[in-house]
Amino acid sequence: MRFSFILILFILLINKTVSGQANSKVTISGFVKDKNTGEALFGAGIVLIEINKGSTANEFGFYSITVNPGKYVVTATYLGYQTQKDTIDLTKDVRLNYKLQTLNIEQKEVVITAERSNDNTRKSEMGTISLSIDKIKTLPVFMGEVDILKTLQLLPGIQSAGEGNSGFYVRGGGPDQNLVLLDDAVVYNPGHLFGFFSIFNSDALNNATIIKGGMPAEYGGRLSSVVNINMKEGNSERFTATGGVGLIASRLTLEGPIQKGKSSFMLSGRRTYIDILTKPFVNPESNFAGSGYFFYDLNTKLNYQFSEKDRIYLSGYFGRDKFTFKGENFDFTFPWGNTTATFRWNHLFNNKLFLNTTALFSDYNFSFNAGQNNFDFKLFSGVRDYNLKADFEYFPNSRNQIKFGLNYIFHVFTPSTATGSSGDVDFSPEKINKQYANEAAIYIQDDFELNKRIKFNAGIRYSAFQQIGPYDRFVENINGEISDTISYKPGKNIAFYHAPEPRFTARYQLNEFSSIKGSFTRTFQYLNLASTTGSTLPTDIWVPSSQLVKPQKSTLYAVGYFRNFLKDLFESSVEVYYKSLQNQIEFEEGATFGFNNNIENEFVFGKGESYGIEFFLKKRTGKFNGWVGYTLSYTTRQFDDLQEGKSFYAKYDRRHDLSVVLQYELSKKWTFGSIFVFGSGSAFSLPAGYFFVGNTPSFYFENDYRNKYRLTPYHRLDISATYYSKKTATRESSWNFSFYNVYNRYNQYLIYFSQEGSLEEGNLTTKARQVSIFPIIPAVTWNYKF
Amino acid sequence: MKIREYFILLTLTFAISSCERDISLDIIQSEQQIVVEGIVEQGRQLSVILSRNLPFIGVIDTATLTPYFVNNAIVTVESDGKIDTLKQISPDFPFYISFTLFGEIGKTYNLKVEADNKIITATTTILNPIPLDSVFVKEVENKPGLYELFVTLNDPNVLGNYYRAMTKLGNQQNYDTDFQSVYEDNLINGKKFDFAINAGKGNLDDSTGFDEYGYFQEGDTIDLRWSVITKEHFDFWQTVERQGSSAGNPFSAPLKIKSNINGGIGIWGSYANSNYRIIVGK
Repeated sequence: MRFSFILILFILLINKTVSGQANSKVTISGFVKDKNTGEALFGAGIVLIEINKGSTANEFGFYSITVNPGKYVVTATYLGYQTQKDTIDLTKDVRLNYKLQTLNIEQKEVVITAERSNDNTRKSEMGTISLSIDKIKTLPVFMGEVDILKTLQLLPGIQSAGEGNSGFYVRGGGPDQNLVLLDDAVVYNPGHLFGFFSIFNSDALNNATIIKGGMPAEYGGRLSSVVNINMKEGNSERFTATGGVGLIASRLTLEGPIQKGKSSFMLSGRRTYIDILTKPFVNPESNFAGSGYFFYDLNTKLNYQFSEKDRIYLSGYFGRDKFTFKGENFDFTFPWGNTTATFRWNHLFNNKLFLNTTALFSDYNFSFNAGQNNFDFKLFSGVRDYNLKADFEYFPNSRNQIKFGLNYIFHVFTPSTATGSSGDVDFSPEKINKQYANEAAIYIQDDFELNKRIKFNAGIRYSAFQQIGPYDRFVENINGEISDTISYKPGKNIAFYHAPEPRFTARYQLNEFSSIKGSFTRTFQYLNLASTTGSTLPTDIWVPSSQLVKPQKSTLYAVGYFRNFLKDLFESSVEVYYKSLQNQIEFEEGATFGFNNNIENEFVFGKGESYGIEFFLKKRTGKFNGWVGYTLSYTTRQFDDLQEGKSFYAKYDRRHDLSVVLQYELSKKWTFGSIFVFGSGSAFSLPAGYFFVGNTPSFYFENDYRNKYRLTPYHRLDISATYYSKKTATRESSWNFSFYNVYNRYNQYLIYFSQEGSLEEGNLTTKARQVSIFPIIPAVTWNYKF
Repeated sequence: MKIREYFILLTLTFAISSCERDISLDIIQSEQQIVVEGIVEQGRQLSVILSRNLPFIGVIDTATLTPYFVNNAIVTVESDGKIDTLKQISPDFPFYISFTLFGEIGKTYNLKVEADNKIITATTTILNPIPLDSVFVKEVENKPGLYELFVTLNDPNVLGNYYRAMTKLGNQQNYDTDFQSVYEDNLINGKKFDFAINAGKGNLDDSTGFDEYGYFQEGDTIDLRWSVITKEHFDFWQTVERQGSSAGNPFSAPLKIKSNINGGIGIWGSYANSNYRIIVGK
């Protein structure tokens, strides 16, 4: 019903736009860019003052507004930039490109009023927040590394996956339900070193947007959120070098024009040097000499503008973590990491229709190689995507902004595969039992202003997924023994799913400074991350929907009140949400992950739900700025095959979650920042006691043991000071001094039982122990730009 | 797989500053379960030990355990229409044994226990033994006087064979195992190959620690018991040993031990044995 309602709405809208074109309207369109770097300003606002109609620049800086002919004052605004104001006499279609200039600190106080923005209350979108990477660089950082994913965790509804971790949960969804995109390419494992650092090198990035609710139809494939991160395009005006030397890593980014005004490049690298720093202290005679760990990232982007209408972008990411262990008679290495590649072609058909065609490649793989005497062992897993997308944006008039497009992905999943050899005997399986799948989607959405009060964003996405052969499916009998093997031939259909995903958000403007918004979001997800821990480990495996594993499904309802204060100086919102989740997976009780079985045989299936209320207050501009976010939420899961069907709190359940982020620009030289976080303790499981079989004590877990206990509440204060020893339009040198966990709180990272002694010796004891991982950690980073 | 444990090592190396301390916790008291440790072996009398699970209580020794023994239970086993009630030999220790039923290859044994106002049941079958092709020892490189025990297994080309290896030295009473004693044939199905079997963990000497762990010495008389076990029996030991190997490892996920006991916990497990004796260095 709801679905057909939206369809009808669409047809009405499109009719309206077609008939609207009969009038002699004129279009003003163009690109908005940074004057110094030539980077597109995603989200910049272009407004015709007289009629208060406008448009927002897309990812590539393009905007388009169609209105009646006439004389207008046009303003182009972007936070942190000087507003540009022009008077134009619109008699025919006009191309107006903007190059905005960044503000310096004295100007900031003066122009606050000019920077007024009521986007918070005026836009129909909900649960969407964009961050400019430059804005977060003066916040306190962990071990000197600016990390966009950790900053996102400070927003309401988005929770950290754990101490110092870049992994995150959105509104009760698991870490696999976040679509993390780098220049549109899916990043399957966005963490280095178990998530303590994200793979995103801030120097290479331009901006990030998170959508935690009301996901528009242009996005799909994940249930809970979209994190869309764009790399810098490369300075098209002049050569620059940006970099930094930090506590654990160094960075260097080079960018500049290749052919001025036509093409530019960006090349960026980051590498940790824990291994190099510690090497001199490891005795070369020691058993562990040669052991070490490091990670690195490489980002690159090239773009070429053929004409005003055609531009191509080529970008890529490559990163690896590598851990090496050398023991006396046992050694191993495990490398893991992501690779992404993006080719984009922007084409402007005319001043109202914009097309972005994208070809993408994503790869994540993990391997573990071990050797002991004459025994060699290798374990590997991974996922690889080939992805094609066409996204159209159509600006028929000042009321509608229509997007439509299609997407096709070919997935290859490598399950955890073990191979080995002992002397001359090889244990490798005859073939690697990979899983292959097609995924496709089409969508259409319209951002439509019905009248001054009511605005909609309505859309529908239709997605389909098919697992195809070759594949060997091991069928288990009720004892869990493999009783049959079904071999599928290449290309043969194994499982096929398809579903409509309606998306709808609406805004009702109450008055100049407040509005009410509501949204309904249905999403499907055809992939699952098989994880035992809740935070993403490199060993976690991506598993597609199959005959046994049904697609994950989510329905999200949200309602919010949005209000700005003091002439838009403060933005605030209150959002209430309810989310239901179907076809969630967990490992069956006692799963021990036998080799070379189908991992899906070890899953059980259930459902989940999450609901909560989120408060957000933000001061956008001025020398003193920042935000406060608070979330109260409940998240549960229920599986028929776990604890006799009794529901339990999810690992992602967090009752209270508070973040306070403040920045103060004291002078040209000094900027201060602070972050305070408070969160209810995470849910965790403990055994209820133990029992003896064969004189060995084993832990006894009750049927309803899952997540029955809570860690103590988590809280922490970080502070930072940034000193600019030089800051001009072209040169910059700054020092960031950060203290993580200033008051040195021993937050519980986890609790476990340890057993000591033995029954025979009469001294068997069990102790509960808490582990805290990060005490106060000071860090200094030097950043430069020239 | 112990990969997770290696990660932990790495995490801890990284978090040099990590800190651990003892804490006290209010543990929610659990309902008491009957723990079965029942063994069915070819040619031997059937036996069962019955106990209850313990809460976390300070230091424990064998005396502390006494209240957790299940005495005076009615324990019966049925096989091929024959029923026997097992006898508790000593009133102080809950060891029940059959004097009429002996394990036979291919036979199924149905256990029933009545105690604590509960009735619990379990079933197991003794499978066919799969003997080893050979058993031999090799001197360890750079460790004179220490030997490794090797076996040659010719795994039948049918998936679904599960094994358990146990050893004892001539002067020892009971068989003992390594920290990991059970094997499945997923990776090795249909293959013929040599692999090492470690000496029992009871031989782990505090003074030499893991440097000499698992090896045998010149002059040792090794008794090796190589058994074919059922999938359920494998699952039990696999989960027990996996839990044991992650004991004290704070990062391991909770692992509930699999059991084939209806209404209780523990194992009613069968062994189809092949026995070998080898004297080291002769």
